[in-house]
Amino acid sequence: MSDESLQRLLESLHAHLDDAQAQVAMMSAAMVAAATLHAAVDRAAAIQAINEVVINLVGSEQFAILERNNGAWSVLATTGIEADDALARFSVAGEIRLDEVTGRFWIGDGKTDPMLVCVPLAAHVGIIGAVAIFGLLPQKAGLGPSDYELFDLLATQGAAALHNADLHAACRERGAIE
Amino acid sequence: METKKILCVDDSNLILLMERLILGREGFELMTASNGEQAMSRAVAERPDLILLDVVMPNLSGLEVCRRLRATKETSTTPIIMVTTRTESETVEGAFESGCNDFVLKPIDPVELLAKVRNYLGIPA
Repeated sequence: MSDESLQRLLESLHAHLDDAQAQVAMMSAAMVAAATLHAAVDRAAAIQAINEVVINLVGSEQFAILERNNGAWSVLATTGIEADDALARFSVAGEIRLDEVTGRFWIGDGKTDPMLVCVPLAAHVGIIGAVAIFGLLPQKAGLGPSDYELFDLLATQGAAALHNADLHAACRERGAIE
Repeated sequence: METKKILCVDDSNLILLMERLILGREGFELMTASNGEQAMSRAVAERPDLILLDVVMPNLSGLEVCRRLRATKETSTTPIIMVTTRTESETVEGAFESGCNDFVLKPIDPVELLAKVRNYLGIPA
């Protein structure tokens, strides 16, 4: 094999290694996020779990967790932003809607940019809340494929964590469980 | 080759789980502590080869733990890598002044973390 062929082979192997490492990192983050969200047994723990995922895995310290009850939005928790400010910026973005082609949820009209990203929390009963991210940590250059994987996971598992916590509390109130 | 012991200190279970995932598959023996007091007692008792230390923790901060570890005979030369979300110069300077060897930023990049851990443990990449 010529030096040139060896060089090409080496470059190709390096590219595969980089790809494999990125895949492992993505799967590790998803696994850790899922484990954290599933461990939550009450509402406070579910909110804390969502907080931890956004801070430590996405890399943001400027976000809000919102809840939707009978069509009205309220703020459950914020990090690095005042609740009123978060709700105001969230409210101008418009209604959350489902993109029929991609299956992803979107918010806003595509023209205004009041948030960096909004992750709807979608349980089987519908959209019960959202995580609105307004900024990233300085060392985080931007959002990449692994972040969007995390958002998809957060959308379903974050919602499930909150919804299950409420069901758990309701069962306890009825005396169905200890 | 002797198995290297690493003490991971963080008040976030998520971060501890992430560090376990990244480092566990490399064959390191891992111990965890979820606060500064635990970190001090485990570090002295177990004598890890390296410590990963969160900066922001309740009660005893990572910087204070680092200072105390450096002042303790058993851990005065143990490599310490701080883990932080903060990039402000005061935090970075504070981390080095407290005696840490290096730091990694959150969100943790597995490749960067492994490279730094291997470097301080003298393990070839």
